[in-house]
Amino acid sequence: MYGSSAAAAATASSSPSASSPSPTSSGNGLTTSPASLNYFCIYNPDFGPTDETQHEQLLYYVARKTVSVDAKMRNIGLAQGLVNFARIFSPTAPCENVHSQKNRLVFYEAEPGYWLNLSIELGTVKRTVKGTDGKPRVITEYLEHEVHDTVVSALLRQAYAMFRVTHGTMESLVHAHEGNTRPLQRRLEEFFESWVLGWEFDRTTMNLEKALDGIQYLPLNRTSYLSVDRLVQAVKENYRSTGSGPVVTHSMVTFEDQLVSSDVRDEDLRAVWKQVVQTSGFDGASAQNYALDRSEAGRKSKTSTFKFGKSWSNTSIFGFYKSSSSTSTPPSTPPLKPTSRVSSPAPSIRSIDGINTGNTLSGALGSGASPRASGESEAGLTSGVKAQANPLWFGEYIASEDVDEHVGITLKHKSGLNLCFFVPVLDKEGNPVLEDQESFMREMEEFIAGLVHDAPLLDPTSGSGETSRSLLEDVARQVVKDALTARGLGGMISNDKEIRFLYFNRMNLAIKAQLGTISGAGKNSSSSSSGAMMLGSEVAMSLLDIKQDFDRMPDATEITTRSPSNYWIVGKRFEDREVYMIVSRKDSTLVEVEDEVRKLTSLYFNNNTLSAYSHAPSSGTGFSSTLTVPE
Amino acid sequence: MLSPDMSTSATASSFTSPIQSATSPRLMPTKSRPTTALVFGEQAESLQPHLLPPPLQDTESLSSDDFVLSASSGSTAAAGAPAAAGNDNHSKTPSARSGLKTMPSGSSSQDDHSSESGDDADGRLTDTESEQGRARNRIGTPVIAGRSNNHHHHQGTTEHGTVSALQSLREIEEHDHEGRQTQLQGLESRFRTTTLAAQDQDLTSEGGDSTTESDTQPKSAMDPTQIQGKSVHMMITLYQLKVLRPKPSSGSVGNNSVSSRPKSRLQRTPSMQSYDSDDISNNHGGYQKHYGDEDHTTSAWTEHRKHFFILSSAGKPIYARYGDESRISSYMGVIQALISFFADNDDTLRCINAGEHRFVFLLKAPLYLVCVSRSGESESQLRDQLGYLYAQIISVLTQSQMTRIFEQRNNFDLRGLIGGTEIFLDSLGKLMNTYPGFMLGAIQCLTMPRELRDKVGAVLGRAKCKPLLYALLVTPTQLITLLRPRTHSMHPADLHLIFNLLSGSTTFESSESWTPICLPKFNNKSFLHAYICYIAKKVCMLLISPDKDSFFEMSNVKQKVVEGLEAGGMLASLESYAAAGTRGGFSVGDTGIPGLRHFLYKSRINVQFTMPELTEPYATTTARKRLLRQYQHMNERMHRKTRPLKLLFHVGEQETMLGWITSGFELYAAFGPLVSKSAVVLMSNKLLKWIRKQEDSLLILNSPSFEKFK
Repeated sequence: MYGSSAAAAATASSSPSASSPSPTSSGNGLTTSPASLNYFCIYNPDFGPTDETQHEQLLYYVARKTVSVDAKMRNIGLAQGLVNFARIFSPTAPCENVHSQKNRLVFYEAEPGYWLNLSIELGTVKRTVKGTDGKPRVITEYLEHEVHDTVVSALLRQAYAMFRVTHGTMESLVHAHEGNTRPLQRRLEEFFESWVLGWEFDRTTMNLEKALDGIQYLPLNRTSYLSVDRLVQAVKENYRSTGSGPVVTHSMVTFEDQLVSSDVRDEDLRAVWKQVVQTSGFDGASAQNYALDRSEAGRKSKTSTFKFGKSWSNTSIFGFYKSSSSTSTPPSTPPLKPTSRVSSPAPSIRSIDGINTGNTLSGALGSGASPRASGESEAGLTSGVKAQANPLWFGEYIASEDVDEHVGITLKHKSGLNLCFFVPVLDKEGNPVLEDQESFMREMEEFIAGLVHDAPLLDPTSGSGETSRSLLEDVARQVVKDALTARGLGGMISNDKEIRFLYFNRMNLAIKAQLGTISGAGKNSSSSSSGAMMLGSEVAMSLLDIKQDFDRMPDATEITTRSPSNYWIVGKRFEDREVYMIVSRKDSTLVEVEDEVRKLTSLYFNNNTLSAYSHAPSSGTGFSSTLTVPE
Repeated sequence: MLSPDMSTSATASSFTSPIQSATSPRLMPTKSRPTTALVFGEQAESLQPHLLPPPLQDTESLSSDDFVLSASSGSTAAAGAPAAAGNDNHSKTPSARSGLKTMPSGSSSQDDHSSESGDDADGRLTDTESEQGRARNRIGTPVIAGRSNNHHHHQGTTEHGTVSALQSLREIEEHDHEGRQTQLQGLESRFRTTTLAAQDQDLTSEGGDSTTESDTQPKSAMDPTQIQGKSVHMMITLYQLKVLRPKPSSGSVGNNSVSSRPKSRLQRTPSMQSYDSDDISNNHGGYQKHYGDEDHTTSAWTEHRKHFFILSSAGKPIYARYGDESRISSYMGVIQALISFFADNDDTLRCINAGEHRFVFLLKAPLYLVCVSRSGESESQLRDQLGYLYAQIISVLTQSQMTRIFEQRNNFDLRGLIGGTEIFLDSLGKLMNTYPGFMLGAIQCLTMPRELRDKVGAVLGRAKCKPLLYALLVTPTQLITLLRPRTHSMHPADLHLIFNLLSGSTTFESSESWTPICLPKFNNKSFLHAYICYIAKKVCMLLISPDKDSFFEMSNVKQKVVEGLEAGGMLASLESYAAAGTRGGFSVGDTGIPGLRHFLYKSRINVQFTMPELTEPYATTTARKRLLRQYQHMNERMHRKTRPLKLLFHVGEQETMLGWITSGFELYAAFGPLVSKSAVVLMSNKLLKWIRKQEDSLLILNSPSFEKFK
């Protein structure tokens, strides 16, 4: 070990760590630099089968350092070599990652032939020691174990999912242009350029929430759920397939950054949810998204959003409104980690030209000439309409590779409730169905605002005593109430700082976490004195280790570990549900920890039946029960 | 030049690679049986002028002598004894053959000649068709001289749990003289007076090039007479040799024209192997690798759970656990290219993950070792295993010799030098799948009362003689006792290599053997010499000496020890404990903890571990393997360099596992799947108590040193 690191030191010390951001020195002769992006590229070997055309394989490439085309080609050549070699022995499961002493390569075959390849330079610790000859020597240790494969792989999957939901598949883009890859290259560049360079891989980014990439659901009680459902069904009923005219096929209801209900298929749920949340402007609070490089990406998104921000209408006739504080202003200040702003690439794609809906549509239809207005193309700038439309690509059928373009019409309610309805852009025959998007949106707003209870809904718990006949207002009120309750209860579940937990439901991707913010250096999970919940990065990575065990060992149902610093970490799995728990009481015994776990799991696992009644898995949350379960 | 594969097809047999055909002549003599050992010397002499290459040297010198030998035989061939060219593949063989041939009275030698020439045709064929194959043959087997004979004799019916049952299915045991001859050679080698240094020098001057052996021909002029004369004494003991020759697997079965051949007169020979040239596949040194003939383009080959590949840093294939390494040279080329790409960027390729497959690389220039596994073992565990394979190669060659070879010639084909030791690489691969000692970095001890162990140790200690470095009594994979100089302990990794040596070949069971071995942790630059002799069933005595001429002294030590043990009535009890120990020593029921299914206990201080017999539900091979994988998983999770664990509690469908590490011990225990945590805690504490009570019979708490017995 000594020998190898010493050998490495010789080279590493000679090459300046220019690409490593902010190496930090501590007093004891240690210099650490975090892991950082080396390069990211997307390629498809099918596009350049010969030596002469090889460069056409490369669809996108970004690196910290400018490199020659040759260097780029060498890298994707290596990538293909590794992938092909792995395929000899593992023909079905492609190469996922490659560990080397200094770097980590991560692969994701997003679509057949289309590879995303990320290279990360590992973090280092340099320490100066006295050599045998008495001269100080620098020994570099590469922190291989601080880049967790599960997190990085999840990043690539998420990045692609976001691309697909805003652009459709890469293959369809190439296909739409008769095999010309230029438009795809441009889209990829627009999508990734501001984003990728902000990817961070230091230890604070290695957390379980990112690896799981769950969705935050708003816990609803049954009455609220039924009200929401009634509202959604009413809209769908009104815009059902009648042979002509726009059809609402899917819906998604969110409250701030939380998902209330949706019938988008599971494969697309995360990405659509993120997109809707972003569209509605509550993404800043989303804890599932990747941190942008605070300075750079923050600046970029600010600029681009500004173009829209000024045209944003806050007036509201029907009570829809957009909170300017939380929406049109992207974080101009660095977002707090890890609850940083959604890594949305959308801002960079938008252009002013794309604002009007007609362009949105044509762009969505794939005219490469017209910039695609996928963002918050505000429909009625002057007329005070508050719905907005943006194209989203997702599939109709479970497990189908195909994705179809939809116009997502988002209606914002001032309470924070967002209703999003999706209309396929093309009907079954392939004809465009939305001739006049703007008027359609207006019509839909009016329809929704005009919805009333068939019979006045008496809500005995509403307290205010007044019952509105507006279904929308009523739903909003109930949802807000549930949200407040959940917030209160959430605090109660574990106000004990020595016990943290994370709940994840693989079925509907629901996640609920009380883990705390990861501190860069902390070795244990104890809270900082400031009262903020801090989580040691060691602990955070130990959670990832357990997740990895669950992934690799399908029959494992419970894993309990105790670290040398005596905190306990428990992972428990029951069918599709997983609970992770940290008990940092140092004197706890295995049996005591089990008691804590039992208490917590009784909240989540034993209430399956309650949440299972809901029709769509996405609408039922594991948490609906938490409202009724006494502490 | 044709590739070996080409030549194979040319002979219209799917198994005749040049190597194979070249090997065949060597095996011929087995048909003729020596009637008496005593004839050996003189007859050999008489034959010498035209056929007799010099006898084999010690391993140290082998590499150089190989060349020497092949050179001489090559010239012989030119002189009209065609056999030589083909035969030089096994330099030891010719000498042995020449000796043995003389022994059968009368016409048998004639037969041998004729059959030989037939074989020689093949030999020549390979000569012309495959330079590489020839080179390999020439420098090949002799390297391991004394030991290589052991390699052929793969024991199908081995009782060591370590050798998989699969193997026995694919093997036919066979007795032939081959083993004896080679064994003899090994013994002859000890009469060599060349020093290690001199030999090393030979090697370097040789340049490792098989085509230039003639330069070194003079060296071959060792005095065989003397050697053989002395060897005669050894014949008596050697005569008992049982030689097992694995049957060529699958496709070659058809070649068992065998039955028509004269049956071996020795016992336990179901059918005699045919030694037709086309019959011997892939077999340098007579050892038939499992799946050796498997086609690397088939999924059957790629789907093996764990591949091991060893290649030189120039990309030359050296070893493949499955299939014929020479045929997968294209893969080796890819591996080499990938590795160099990273090296060009001043980086080191370490691991590739693809689905459940893991590709692990260990770069030990001039060797690259690669593992392709879907066994679920961790990267670090697989790399450790590659490290063991590397150590195994070192134990045959020494580090310094290997480095020197590759300094001389970058693209040297090492297969020649380690040829015949593949069996130990294979057996190591198997042992690592069954024996937890590798993962724990600890040694298993035979369970027996401490008093007996102490008494046995005392007998060993009193038998000390000057050149004796270590004295060990082992069952093939369990340590009974170890005597050592006070200043030198023995590293578990070295001991694992010894265990592998013993469990890899059962030849040792039937005779005294004297083999050079490099124990890399002790000193990777030079050889030690091991005297190996089973003094009772499953009880093997190893005497390790730095002096390669100390065979007789060692043999005397053994004699003394055996007498001492017998006088004390200890030998019989040793044998019974060893028999019990092979099953597991004790059962989990002995602990009196119902609910406990199995456990591994490692004493970190003593670097030893113990475990009970694998009984239900771990009686089947699959279940055992699964349990070992579970243990490995626990072990790996708890020993990560970053984020290590003190305690790991893992509930799966089949069992609940507890891993518990303190400064003094590591405990891994398996319970039923539905057991409660409090019960696990209770049982574990009870188990620890039981172990403490039994510790002195489960472990060796005081490893005696020789000085104690002065």
